[in-house]
Amino acid sequence: MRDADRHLLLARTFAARRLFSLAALLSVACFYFQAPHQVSAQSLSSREYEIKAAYLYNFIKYVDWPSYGDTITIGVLGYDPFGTALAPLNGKVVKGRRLLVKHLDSVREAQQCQIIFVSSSEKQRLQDIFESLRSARVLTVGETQGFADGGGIINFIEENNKVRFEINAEAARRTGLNISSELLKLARLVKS
Amino acid sequence: MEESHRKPQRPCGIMALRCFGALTLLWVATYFAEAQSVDSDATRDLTGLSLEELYNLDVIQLNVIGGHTHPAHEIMFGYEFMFMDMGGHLSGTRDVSETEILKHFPSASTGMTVEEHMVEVMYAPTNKLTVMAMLPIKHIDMDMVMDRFHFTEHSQGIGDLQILALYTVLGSVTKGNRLIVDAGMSFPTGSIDEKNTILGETFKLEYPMQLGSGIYDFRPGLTYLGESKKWAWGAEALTSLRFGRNGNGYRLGNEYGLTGWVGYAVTDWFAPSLRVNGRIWGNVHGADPDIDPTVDAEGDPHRQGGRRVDFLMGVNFFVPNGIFKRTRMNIEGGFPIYEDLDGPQLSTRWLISAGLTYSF
Repeated sequence: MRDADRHLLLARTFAARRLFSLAALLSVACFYFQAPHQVSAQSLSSREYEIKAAYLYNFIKYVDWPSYGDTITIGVLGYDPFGTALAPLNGKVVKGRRLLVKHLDSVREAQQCQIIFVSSSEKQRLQDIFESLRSARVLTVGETQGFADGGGIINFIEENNKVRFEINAEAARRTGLNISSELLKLARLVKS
Repeated sequence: MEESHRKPQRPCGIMALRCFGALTLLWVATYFAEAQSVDSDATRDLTGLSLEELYNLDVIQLNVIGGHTHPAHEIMFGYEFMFMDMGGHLSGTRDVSETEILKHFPSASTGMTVEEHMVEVMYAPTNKLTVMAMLPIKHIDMDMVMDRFHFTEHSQGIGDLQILALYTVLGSVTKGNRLIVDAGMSFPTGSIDEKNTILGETFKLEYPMQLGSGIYDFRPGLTYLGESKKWAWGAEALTSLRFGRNGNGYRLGNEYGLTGWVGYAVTDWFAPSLRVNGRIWGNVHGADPDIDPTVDAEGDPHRQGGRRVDFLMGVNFFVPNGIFKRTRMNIEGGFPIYEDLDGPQLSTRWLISAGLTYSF
């Protein structure tokens, strides 16, 4: 065999070995990433909404309604961004009353709730919602710019990577709700 | 340069076996850590927190797999150690022996180590913009042989200061997928006049032994980041573009890098990762008149370029709570799976890096 042929054969052998090694590596990598993925197929929930859900729970402690039934109902109006974050609230007892979380199909259902979370999907009809709830003793909570200025009571905002909130105390008074000074102290106060 | 017989110390089978072993170890660690953290993905009930605690809770928490950019007003200090071991020579993709090199040059390199200590600081003025500065301190040794006389060249000192701005153009720091434009520059703070004295003779060290480029490098790039609750993946194209000549009459070749990675958060404190890193770098343009290109291949401006693809495995640790909260540590090591050098040049055997960062 000539030198050139021998070199060519050597080069091909080494190229084939490298290709084989690469294929082996990729196979191992696929196996490696597949196994843990199967173990961890669990539900996802955003931290932002876990915080907002905990706020809703806390608001109940700092707001007084003129009258209560046996349950305190939290309704979600519009698209539900909470995922599974509201689930831990269901059945908890606050102020001696059991919490119930409901997804609402209409504003009329909202009148039976103590708190409603108005999703940002309802941005275009906020005024209609506030108008419908004018005589109801409902704490309206939103996360839309202009929600509290427009007549809602509490609006979530994000500041410095933290969930903060605005309160329209005037709207709360109109609704007949009494908000504690401790809650007002942490809030950014806005007017209609 | 003619080809010599392939050396037996770098067969691909052994590299594949090493890789198989490392991956299996990682997989076993992952499996058991996963088993201990079955609830880490479930909804967290934060109702036990007080109003004040909720008020001060971060929405975007640093985690073990994130951290490329930062939320507004966050500062990060970091230290990274890198080590690269080189040995054997390649011309193109073929091995070349020292004997063969010594037929063309009076001296030849026999091995090289590059040690780098990098200090870095990052600051995010807004959620979309993160700026960073990095300063490397280098320590380079190259073993040489000349007429059967063995000696070691040595250089150490600060390298080129790099300043980069990372701007999120698509997506946001809170979302899973992001596209980031990188714009940066390196400043010629590293020396290009490193010299050694061997047997009473002082000479200028070769191009790979110098600590900086000697000119302002432009470093544009593009980064894609993807992130789910458990997985993080991404790709980054980063270049170093050089224009003009430095004070010694040359400029290093442009560099083009493309890297892709995937990481899996087994728990909120541990994530193994895999990365493939490809790099193309050009030859030196011009020449330093004080470096004799006929003494060894490292001093020849036309034998500096190359192409290399590295396969890297890493482990990442993050401290979510306690005194060392927000401290991140990562260790990554690997080897080239493809190397093609405008040689003869020293080939890379393996490389390792370890980093420690603290954000507040």
